[in-house]
Amino acid sequence: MFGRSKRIRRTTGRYGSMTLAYAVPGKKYRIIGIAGGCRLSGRLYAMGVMPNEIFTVYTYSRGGPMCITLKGTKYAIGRGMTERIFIEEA
Amino acid sequence: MQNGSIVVALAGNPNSGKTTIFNDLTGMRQHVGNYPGVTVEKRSGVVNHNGHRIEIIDLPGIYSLTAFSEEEIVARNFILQEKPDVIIDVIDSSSLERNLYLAVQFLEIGIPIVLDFNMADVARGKGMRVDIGLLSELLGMPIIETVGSKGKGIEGLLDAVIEVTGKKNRKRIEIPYVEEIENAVEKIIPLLEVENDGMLMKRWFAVKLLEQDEDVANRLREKNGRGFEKLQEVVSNSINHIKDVMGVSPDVLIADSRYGFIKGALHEAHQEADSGNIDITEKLDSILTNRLLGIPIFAFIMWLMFQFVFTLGQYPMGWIETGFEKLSTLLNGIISNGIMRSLIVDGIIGGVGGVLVFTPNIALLFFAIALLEDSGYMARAAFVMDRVMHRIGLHGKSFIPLIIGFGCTVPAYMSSRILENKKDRLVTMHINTFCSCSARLPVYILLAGTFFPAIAGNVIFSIYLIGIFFAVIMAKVLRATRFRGELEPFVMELPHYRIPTFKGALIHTWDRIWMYIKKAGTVILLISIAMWGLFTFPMIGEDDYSGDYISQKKEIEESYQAGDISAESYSEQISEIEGKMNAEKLEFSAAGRIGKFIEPVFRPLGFDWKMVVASISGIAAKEVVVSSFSTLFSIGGVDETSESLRDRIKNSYHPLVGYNFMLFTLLYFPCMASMAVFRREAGTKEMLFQIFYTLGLAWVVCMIVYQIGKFFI
Repeated sequence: MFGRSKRIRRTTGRYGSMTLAYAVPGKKYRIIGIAGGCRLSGRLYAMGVMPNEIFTVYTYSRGGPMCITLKGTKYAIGRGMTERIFIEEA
Repeated sequence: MQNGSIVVALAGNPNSGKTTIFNDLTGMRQHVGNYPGVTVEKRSGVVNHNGHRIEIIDLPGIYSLTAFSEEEIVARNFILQEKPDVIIDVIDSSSLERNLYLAVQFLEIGIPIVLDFNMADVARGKGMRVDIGLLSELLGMPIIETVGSKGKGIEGLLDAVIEVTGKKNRKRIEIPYVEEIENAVEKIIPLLEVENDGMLMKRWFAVKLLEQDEDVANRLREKNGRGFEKLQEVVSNSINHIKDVMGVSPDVLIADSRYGFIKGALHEAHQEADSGNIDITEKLDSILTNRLLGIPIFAFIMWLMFQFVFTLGQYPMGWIETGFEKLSTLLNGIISNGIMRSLIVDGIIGGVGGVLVFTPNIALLFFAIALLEDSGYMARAAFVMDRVMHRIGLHGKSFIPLIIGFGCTVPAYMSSRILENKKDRLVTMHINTFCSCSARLPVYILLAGTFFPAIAGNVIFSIYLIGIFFAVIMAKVLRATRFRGELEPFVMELPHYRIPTFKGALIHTWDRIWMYIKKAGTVILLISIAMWGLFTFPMIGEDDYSGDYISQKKEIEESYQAGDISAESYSEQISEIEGKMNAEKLEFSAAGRIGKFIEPVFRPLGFDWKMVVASISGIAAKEVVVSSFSTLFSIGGVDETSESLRDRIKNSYHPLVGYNFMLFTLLYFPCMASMAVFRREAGTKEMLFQIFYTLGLAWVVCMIVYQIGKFFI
């Protein structure tokens, strides 16, 4: 309870690709899938974060939250989430 | 239409400029309340336009009509239950596609909609072109362009509202779904027993069931009774079938179809901006959310805010205090009856005045928060602090109420509204008391100065550190027990930076002050009277004093008049006797008796009945503990630096007990004003929990400290 949960980082998942956690600034990426309950993916869809959208990373700190720009809107995405969004280079 | 007025719900995404539009529409004629049973704020206002009375209700900012957050459920329930005549959906013209996602969901409910393309000037500046006429036709909803910050287009919005309410046969557009979804919807609709508002409403319920919306399912369970099992079976079969055939769950397909519909319409009527230019937001963000600079900048802004609220706030606070003092002096002269005078001056003015003194702090704080939120910085602050706060199970934004708590817990509780998630908000509120508020400082100064004069500063600092330690520990404990559950996945839009509008900040601030003043005039008034009663009754009779003070006073007076003693010595002797009388009066009162009665409970902590009584008086306000001490040690009119008071306290207790009492003051819940606010923000149950758990914690911690400490003294 008091320790930091150690989660094994997955670089490849069920979509056979990298996760957002490994994206770096300066490159364009495409979202290919979101792993998570329908509550979570529903939320992301409603916010406009969904498969086939292209985005760039503009603030990043490994292990912390991340900022991305997608269709002119900026999003802050928490660390846990970045490991559940699967992407590929666009 | 109700009572001849048009009821309009104002909806839209967060950061779409909805609040500005609401302020433009209603001006200062706003009413703020809460939606029943939840802490989501409900604002409404009335506007008269072309002979129509239009009532506007501001719904919380949402992205979707799912049941993801409390706000979404509130907005949805309002629309389903109150059935407004029109929905105005405020849309950020710069990101039409995402904003229209919500509009499309309203479309499915079947209530007439007016689309407000807000911030149209910004979008045009970016090079976006929209064929409003064509898009309006394709979506089946009127579109009005506005610029909320300049108040442009508001008249047109109201015209459109009146026009759509007057229309009888509206064209109804259905979102076409993929075949599998349509088939399932067809199977579900006949099984629904919802009040019929046309087919669209039923269709909406059917779609929601396929999206596996639990809130809607529960609602139908109540309405459909026995038929619900059959319905549930059909729904789950359909979902499984769709998953088998399509390979994805229905909610993804439904979202795809909605976006497909929007994209189709936009494709014909909308020309994207030629992006590529780096705007001001990007530049600012590269500094403000920078990995290295982000936290120092945030700390600096917090420091500025703290200074603004508490340093600047001191001046008006002083004026209010002087005002109440003058009022007390005035009334002291006017009212002759002793008890009435005491009730009004000590009980009511003392109690309510002591609470109203915080009004300037609250005003300045909420003005600062409004500026931070409207400018777009608040979202960045949450982003920057998220990593740190995440470790203790809190949201990045929790940092703000916690910082404010070091000044005053009352505005801190109020500011925890910036947290959208209920669990985050409650945990933040429950640990806020450990951020030692400024009213407790006089108590620390008195006791640390008394018992540890050489190292008073370090002792006080240690109390603050212990407070922070307990805040962290309790956050973890509460997260693991009462407020268990996965942390809200952190996904947040970072809005474009904007220059905040003065009017908006002012309205926001005024609401908060008014809310607080109302509280002071009702609940706090009653508690003040009750506290006064506790410390006044039963009144001591002349015979109940331990000595014959009355005749002693007479003797002194006589010898003074005879010229035997000097004026100085006279007033000294008189005030000493009056001090003794006050102490005995307090001892005789209900509060004194309660203190003595429950003294055994506090003996393991090393406290005597005087400390218990002082703690009880601290419920009124923590700084009152100091004046209670002075009464209990029978000294009239002293403050925390008074030498004689310190001597008497020093002779009565061991330093360990003194330190323990500081700890106790730190840990048990703040004042009655804060508890009244707590109740308003979180409900009676949570307030009672706060009271009992902080008391319990304070007792246990101080007991352990005293019992262990005893061996070393």
